[in-house]
Amino acid sequence: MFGLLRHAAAFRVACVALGLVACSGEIESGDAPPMGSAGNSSIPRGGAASSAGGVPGRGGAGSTPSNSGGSGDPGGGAVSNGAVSNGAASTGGAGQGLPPANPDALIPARIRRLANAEYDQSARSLLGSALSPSIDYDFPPDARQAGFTVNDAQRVDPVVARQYATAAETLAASVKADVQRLAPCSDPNPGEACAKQFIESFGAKVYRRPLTAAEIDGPGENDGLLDLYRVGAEGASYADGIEQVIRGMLSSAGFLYLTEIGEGTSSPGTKVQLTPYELASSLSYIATAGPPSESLVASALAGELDTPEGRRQAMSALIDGAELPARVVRMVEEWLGIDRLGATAKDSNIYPGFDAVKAPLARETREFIAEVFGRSTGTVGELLNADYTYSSGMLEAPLAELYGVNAAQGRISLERRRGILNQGAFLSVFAHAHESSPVLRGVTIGRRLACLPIQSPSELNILVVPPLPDPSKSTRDRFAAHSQDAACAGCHRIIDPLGFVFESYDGMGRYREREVVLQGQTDGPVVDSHAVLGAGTWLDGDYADSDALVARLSESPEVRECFARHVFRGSIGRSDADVKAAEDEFVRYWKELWEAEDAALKSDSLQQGNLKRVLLSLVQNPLFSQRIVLP
Amino acid sequence: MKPSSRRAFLRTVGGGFASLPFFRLIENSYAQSMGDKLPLKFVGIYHPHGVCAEHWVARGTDTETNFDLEFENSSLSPLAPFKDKLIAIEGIDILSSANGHDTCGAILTGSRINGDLKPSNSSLDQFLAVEHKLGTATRVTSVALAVGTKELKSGTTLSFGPGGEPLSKIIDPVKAYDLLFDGFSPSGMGSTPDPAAERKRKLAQANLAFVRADVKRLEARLSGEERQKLEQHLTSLSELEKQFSGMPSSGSVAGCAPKKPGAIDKLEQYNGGEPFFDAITDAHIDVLAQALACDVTRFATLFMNDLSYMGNPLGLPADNHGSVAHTYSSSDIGQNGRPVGAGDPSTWLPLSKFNKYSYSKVARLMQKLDELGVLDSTIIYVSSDMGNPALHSTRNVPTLIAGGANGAFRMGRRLKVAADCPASSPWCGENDAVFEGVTNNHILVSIANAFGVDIDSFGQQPDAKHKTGALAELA
Repeated sequence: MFGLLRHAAAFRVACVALGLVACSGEIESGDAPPMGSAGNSSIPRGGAASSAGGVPGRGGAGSTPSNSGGSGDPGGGAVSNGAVSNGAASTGGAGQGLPPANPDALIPARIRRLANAEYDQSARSLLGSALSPSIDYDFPPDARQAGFTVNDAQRVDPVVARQYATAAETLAASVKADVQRLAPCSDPNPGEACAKQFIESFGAKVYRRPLTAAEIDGPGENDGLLDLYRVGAEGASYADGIEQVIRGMLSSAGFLYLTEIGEGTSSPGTKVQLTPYELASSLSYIATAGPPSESLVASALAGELDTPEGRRQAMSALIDGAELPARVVRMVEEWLGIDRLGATAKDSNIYPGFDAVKAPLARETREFIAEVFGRSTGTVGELLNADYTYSSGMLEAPLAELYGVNAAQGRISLERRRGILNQGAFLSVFAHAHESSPVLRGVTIGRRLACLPIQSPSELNILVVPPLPDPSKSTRDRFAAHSQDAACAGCHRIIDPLGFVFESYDGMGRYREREVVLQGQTDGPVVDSHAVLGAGTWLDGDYADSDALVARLSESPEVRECFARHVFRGSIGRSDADVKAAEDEFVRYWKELWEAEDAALKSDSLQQGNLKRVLLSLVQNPLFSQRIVLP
Repeated sequence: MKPSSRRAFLRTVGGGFASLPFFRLIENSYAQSMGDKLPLKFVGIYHPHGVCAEHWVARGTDTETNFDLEFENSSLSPLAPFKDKLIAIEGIDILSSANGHDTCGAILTGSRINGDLKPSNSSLDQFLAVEHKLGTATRVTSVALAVGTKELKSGTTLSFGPGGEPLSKIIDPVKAYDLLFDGFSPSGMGSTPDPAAERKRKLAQANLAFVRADVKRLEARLSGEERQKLEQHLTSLSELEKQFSGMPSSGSVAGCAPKKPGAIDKLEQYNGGEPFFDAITDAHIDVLAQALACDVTRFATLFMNDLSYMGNPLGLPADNHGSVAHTYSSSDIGQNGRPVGAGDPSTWLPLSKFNKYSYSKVARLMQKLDELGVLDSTIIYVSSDMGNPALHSTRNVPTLIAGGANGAFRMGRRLKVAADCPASSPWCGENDAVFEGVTNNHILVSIANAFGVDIDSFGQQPDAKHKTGALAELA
């Protein structure tokens, strides 16, 4: 394959695009699924992509996804298809858990620092107010992995340490006045005994587990929280001492890191069972970004989370409330990259209205996601193909203008613009400051929704020559050069049609029939949103426009699987090679529980791709409660 | 300063003055007058949008040591006053495997950028300051500043910790000032002990001791790479500890107390910050220069930005990226040696104007350091994530080494390293056998060597030759 690439690069390549992509089947790229990167035992969805053209394709298998008990992964040798189809038929897909097909496909043991939203939610839960410390104390932004903020990459670097220290000091000082409520003491001269009680009770909430003796009152100087009480109260008051205890707790490793390491210390290679406390925290942070409630911890201690069914019920209780938790909404936004709207800017000459519509667009998307997943079918199919958008209050004027509708409330029908990909947020994020970007839109759909492996040109050693603006040519015409260049075409015959169908929407998502290349131009090129995808992938087809494409995506088992993979990555916070086998196993399990196109479940097809079911099956998996200690 | 000259100095000024805020500055000049070398300092600077090569490369009449930086449209002209403290290097390649925009993270790491858009090792500043403890002696081990973006992405970050995890940046000059100078007690010499401040310090130290013990308790339960996360946490706690521990106070004494920068309305890119970027850059540079001169820190990185807003002072289109960098149509000179013809000269000036702006900021830093007497003891490494920005090419990136480097490098030169490709195959790619690119890794090795760190390779490159060996031409 490298021979082929070198050959490609030896030409003067004029791939016309910005930030783009070319393709090949074997090498994974940044945002593409990691499944293909860990050796040859499993092949990325899309099948064996070793054909000379480098274009991945499922071929025949892809068109009949139900052929192997729902495991639509023809190369997934590790997954036992036989065991799988039997399991699906017998369980009916809900209550009891299935056995794992690959009991060694474990998630690695680890600790992970709280993401900013999790810090905020935890602080609120502990200190009982509408705090947003990450904003108030200017925490650096979360590091991302695979686009998600819950991940393995968060560190406490010197800047973070300083901001954490400031937050802990200030938050503790701010609740000092409330010490009678937080740390009540019946003794008229409250002292160490009361402080110790407080440390034990409040500490268990902050650390999400009971404290050890060393944590309470360590052997060395200032080792334990009681030492901090003594230093704080010395020559001062009980409240001063408690303040220092709270400050210490909020700065502690016990608060800042979620652990998935089991009891005690384990050596590399050991399989460990998560403790009841860790199980309760895992469930709670996945669902709500905050610590477990007392009742969840009590269930864990009663052993209820040791069974798949117990965890399923616990997760169900967390996500079945009246409102979909903000954490779940955020994960969906991060999956599609829509949360980058806040850091998206437009050339104000070309898109003068963008600044005014930015906040309404962000709100719209959040509310729409909450509506689909919280109060409707809850499926990714509806997310992609709904014939409405949603506004809890009156649709704000800039947004109503963008969509050309009258202000209304609740579900608002939109002509064209089906689903989230046709909303202004997605269309703005995946566009340039001065024009639409078929490539950015196409790549995102290819990678994040279809899980097609798409590489970047630099990985393929292809030089990129961006097309210059030309008033006589449409964006599409200018970008069409890739498909004429052999080196670029491998990927761009997948990418470009997926983006071209959105050409009826400009760089901020406004509907258009003509392009405006020069300011004030009225006779610009006519846009063409019709595209034929014939690259040999399962997504091949003739699409009149973006509505036609999203309709297809919304019915696709491949998209549902891709969605489930991303929910796994965004929830577990891993997407690297070490977790690949576990991801495959979790996806297989989810399919067997909920997706098998089995006669018994056919009637339930409207529920396929249901987000809550992905989350339920995630925690229901017998492997959820185990970890493997890596060297 | 050698112990002997330090003793002589103290005899002269009287030992009591050694705790004075401006002590460092006096000591600097005294040490220099005695022929001592001041501690070597490092600043890594990123500027966006690559380079207009036509207005950057050496003129035909230039020689290695005799060259003109003030030719027509020269983007290097702001550096003319410092040309004897400068090496401009043509032909350095950054082999990042990444799109040009994600390549910033490779400048100081010399690492390929991986699938999660991260390098896989720490950056040179952290390698020297933290891993080799060269930042231990100063109050702040190292500082990462940026203009307009806090995003922890490879494309916007120069400094990376262990394992290539991005380090948080400071984008607000006021916060930079606070970090570097605020811990200095304003009470100054002769003040009576302040019980409130004393209690504050005691509580902070108790808190840090507890947190350290708590982190260690958790670390003891981990194995393998998981421990690295907490090792970094412990390093950060040491950093806080240093900041709490007493250092000479600056107070209002002239010299080591820079003026506190004024608050800036908007700091962030894409959120209205752009019109303030120029002022932010200047304020960062001024605070940084003072911190280096006062020996508050010896290691810094500065991620600069562009001026993408309507009515920018350069008179460039509002979208610097799309309308300046991307429209650059170069001649052969800017095409990695490929015979492409004459290009479109009308597209050169906007880009070189922007380059000139970036270099004027480098000149500002050099000017300040010179005034404060520490330019000769500093190495400034300036680069971009691209050479030709329209190609997003990470080859032939503009590279400057500036400052006196304490004599480790022969300054005052223009260098041109070997071409990437033989004349017979000008289109060669980096995977081709004939590719002979000279990477930034060699510069990183040279700088580490200048700091007395004896390494022969730096960074991660599939082919060892791309990361091994210093850039011999520098010395």
